[in-house]
Amino acid sequence: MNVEIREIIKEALGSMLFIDIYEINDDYDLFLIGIDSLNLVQLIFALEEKYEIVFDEDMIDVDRFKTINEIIKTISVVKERINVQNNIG
Amino acid sequence: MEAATEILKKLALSFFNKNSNEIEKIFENNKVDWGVFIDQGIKHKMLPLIWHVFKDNPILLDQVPFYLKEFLSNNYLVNRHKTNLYYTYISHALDLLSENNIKFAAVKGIVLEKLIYDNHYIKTISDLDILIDGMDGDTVNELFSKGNVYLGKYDYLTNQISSHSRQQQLLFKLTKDHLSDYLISTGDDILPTVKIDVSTDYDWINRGSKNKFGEYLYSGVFELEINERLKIPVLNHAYHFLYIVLHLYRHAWSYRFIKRNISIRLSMFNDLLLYWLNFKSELVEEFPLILQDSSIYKQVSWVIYHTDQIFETDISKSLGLTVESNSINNAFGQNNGIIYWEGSIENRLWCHDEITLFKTEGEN
Repeated sequence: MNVEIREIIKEALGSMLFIDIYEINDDYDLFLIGIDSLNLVQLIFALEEKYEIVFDEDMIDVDRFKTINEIIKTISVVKERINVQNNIG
Repeated sequence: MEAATEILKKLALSFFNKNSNEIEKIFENNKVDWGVFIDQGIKHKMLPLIWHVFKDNPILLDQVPFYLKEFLSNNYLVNRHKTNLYYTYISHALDLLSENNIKFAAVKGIVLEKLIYDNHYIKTISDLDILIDGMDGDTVNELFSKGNVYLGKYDYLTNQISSHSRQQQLLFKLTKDHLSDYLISTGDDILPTVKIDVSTDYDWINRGSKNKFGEYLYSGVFELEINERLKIPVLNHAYHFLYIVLHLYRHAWSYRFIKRNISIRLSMFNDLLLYWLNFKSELVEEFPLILQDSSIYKQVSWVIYHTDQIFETDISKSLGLTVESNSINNAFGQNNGIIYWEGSIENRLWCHDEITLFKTEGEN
């Protein structure tokens, strides 16, 4: 999944970044490579589209999108919520 | 040397000294390209200052083409009208905060207009900037919502206040360093709404931590009389000077601002120069104490270095600041020095496509 996330970041923000997204490790702080809050909004929209999810308001926190690993965790949490809701429904 | 930009650079000092000899000399020895002058004047938010300095000096005024005199005069009158509307309408919002014991301080525009431009309507006020403790964010949102201060943005096509888009809502939620934009309706044709921009003491580079400005709200605020009817709390001079220094730095290294060619404006450097000239003794005494917080030293020394370069001043020396030679054209800290531009700070100021000046490491 981390390769997939990198691809999404590259597609959404490629020209905004100071270095190649493939050159950093999964725990590297994305804000250190030029992502700012506006870029992060673009990234959130791209992730929502790719995974067909919507991040609830309580998930919208910088720390949840700070690294590739954090993004993977955040998406997992959202998917799990959706599964639970579907099962209840 | 371009005469038009040289004149723009001299305006702040001419205003401070009430003496335009140096500008007169430029006119004596050069032909001014008025297209460049007005274009750069607009870009750098200098038009009201141009008119203020020129209008009372017959030698300067005589140089200006008639159609530009009319343009500059009209622009100045509009700015005066808009600024006065701000004075009238912001009291309500500020009273809401004071009455509910919210610690806040006004910063930048309206404060600088009083402190360093003597209420001559020289700053272009596009919003009221106030600083609050981030912990009070929800309370302020609630107070404004109940107090007829509208959450949203003004749509100039439909002449209506519209809600923030989800994108904007996410942005405000993520940054934490600002609340959503608030508007007060004026009913005025030229300025239908006044905007309130509330920043917090959360770190400006979106790292989720708090900076020192929250502490300053509790330890370094005084009440400034803007006019007979309006008194507002403002940061002590050293803290406020730091605020506008860091604001300039943030603009200078925002990739988004650089791409839009609005990263740094001469008016921002003018503010620093005039703040320095007006409050030098306070700043020399208090500013170095603030800079004991080493995390901001590089940003501050970078901004002051380039201010000195533009105006040929020695503020850095007076404040005991030095900038490493390999950092002059680089961004440090958050970008690890990866991005840099080629040329001087003036190349950036006067450039029409700033991004073309920038390179990343390894590029030729």
